[in-house]
Amino acid sequence: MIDTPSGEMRAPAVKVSGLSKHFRRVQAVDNVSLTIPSGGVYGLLGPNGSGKTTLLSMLAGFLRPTAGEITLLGESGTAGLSQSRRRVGSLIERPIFWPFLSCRDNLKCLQGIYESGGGDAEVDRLLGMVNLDGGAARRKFRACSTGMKQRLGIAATLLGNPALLILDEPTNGLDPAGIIEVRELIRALATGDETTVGEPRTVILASHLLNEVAQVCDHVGVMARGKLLYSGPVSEISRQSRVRVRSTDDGRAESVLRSAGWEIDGSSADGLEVATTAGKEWEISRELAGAGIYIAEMTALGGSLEEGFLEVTSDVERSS
Amino acid sequence: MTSYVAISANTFRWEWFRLRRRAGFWAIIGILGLFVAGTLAATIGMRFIPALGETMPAYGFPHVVFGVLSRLAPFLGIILAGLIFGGEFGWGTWRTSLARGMPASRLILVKILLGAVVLLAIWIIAWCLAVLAGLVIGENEPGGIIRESPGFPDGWIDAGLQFTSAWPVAVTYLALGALLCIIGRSTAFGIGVGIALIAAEMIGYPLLKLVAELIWEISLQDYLRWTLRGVTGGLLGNDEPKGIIFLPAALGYTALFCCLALAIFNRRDWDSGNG
Repeated sequence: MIDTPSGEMRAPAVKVSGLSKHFRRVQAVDNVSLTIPSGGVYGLLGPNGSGKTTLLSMLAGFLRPTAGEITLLGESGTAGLSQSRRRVGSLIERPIFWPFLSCRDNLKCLQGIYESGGGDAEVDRLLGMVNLDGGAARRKFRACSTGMKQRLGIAATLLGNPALLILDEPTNGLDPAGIIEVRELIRALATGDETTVGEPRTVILASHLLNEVAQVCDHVGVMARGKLLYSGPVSEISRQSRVRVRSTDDGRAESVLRSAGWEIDGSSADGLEVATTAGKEWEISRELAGAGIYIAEMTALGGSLEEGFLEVTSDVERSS
Repeated sequence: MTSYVAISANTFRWEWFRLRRRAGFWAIIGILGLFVAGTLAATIGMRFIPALGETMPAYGFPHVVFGVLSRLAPFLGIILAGLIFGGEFGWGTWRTSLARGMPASRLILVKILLGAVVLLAIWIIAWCLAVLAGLVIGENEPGGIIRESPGFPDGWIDAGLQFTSAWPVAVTYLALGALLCIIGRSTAFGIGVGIALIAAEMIGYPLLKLVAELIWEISLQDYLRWTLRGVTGGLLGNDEPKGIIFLPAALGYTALFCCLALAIFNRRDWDSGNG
């Protein structure tokens, strides 16, 4: 159970323990245990082939685990998962629809199969939400562009107002404006924004785009080689940060910081690159001021999630 | 139970929604319509051949159409299965249907049921056309040759039973086609192997029967009576003994193919959408 700000206890949206999947000799997912809290956006990060899609496919019910247990929306076991998956919308790898049907008919057909209700008005609302209304709605799926297909895929995941959304690289194939729209939509879905009609949902977003995850997600899991290496708040993994420091005496500043245990990544005419922890940059200033050195300029070098990600995955990559 | 039936009926409705939007489905119906209409037209055209002698009764017309349908039934079953099951593999849309916890068993059974209902509708329309042709012009048509053909019915009831017997044959091959599509994960495999099997049955079975009778002096039918060819042939009245006794066996084959299809389907992972 997870404490919410209001004090009530909520079951986690997803809980997996000892989950593994192997395809013949390939261990795609290796003994993953993970708890994803209800509400908010959970980002799943990892390089290609790290097992993200396999893990999500198991959650969505497209793959049977070799070992381990899954609890979705508080339900487990074959019958329980079958029930809970009625409230899970998923878009994994690529949107798949019937090519001879129009976008609208595809959505209508799925609405009928999923028994999600809402009628034509709901179909039109969802098409409008992903900018597929008007002529685009009447276009056959096979004639749609990659971006349109992706938008239709997102609309289909929203049928029936699911409590959990599983989105595997949902911005693939979208133009920059479309990427921004989808990111905003994901945030709105997670917070229960009034334009999306409904309760706040849990969104699981797999991506290898670090800035996408940094912008959208509250929690993050990092996978590599089938293993879950980190799971927790984005702010925790982003703690590793770098700053460039230009001071009144860079040469002396370097020796002072080194002797105080700071890691100096580089030194140039522009200043010193110092590794630090996000939010703790002021300690560099205090250290130098104590030695009579004053900072002329301090610049954050960004990529803090990137740093954290690389740090978490580096051991596994090195050992392989 | 009521809920299961209601949900299955809903699934059926949307399966039909998609099938009726496919050009291939209407192409099959069109070709079949041409066969039936052509046969009726040819029968009516016999009036211009004075040497044929006595007239054919109205109930002879369904027998004429049955002659076409009984030959086409296995092909129709296999091709329809290819349309209903095979396409989903090609597009990867099994995954789309199976999302949100849809049980595979329901999906497979509903698809088989849809095929069976479509076949039944074809049979009913063909029967109506044949009866209409028979009632309007049948009694006046010369059809001595047809009347002498094997299996000519004794009356309307006999003609009806005979006509209906080809439907379970088509359904059995529909289930076989579904199984083949699921094994091969494609329309091409399902239809290709299915038609090759029917062709082998059509050519190989009579040939083997003849060879057995001439060389080994045995009746092969006694040994192959309960094979798929023996059962469907018996149901259609091609081989003795004919008739209703083969119906349970045909249903048994249909159930067997469905169960095998479901067992194989259930073992599949759907990460790529085509198992």
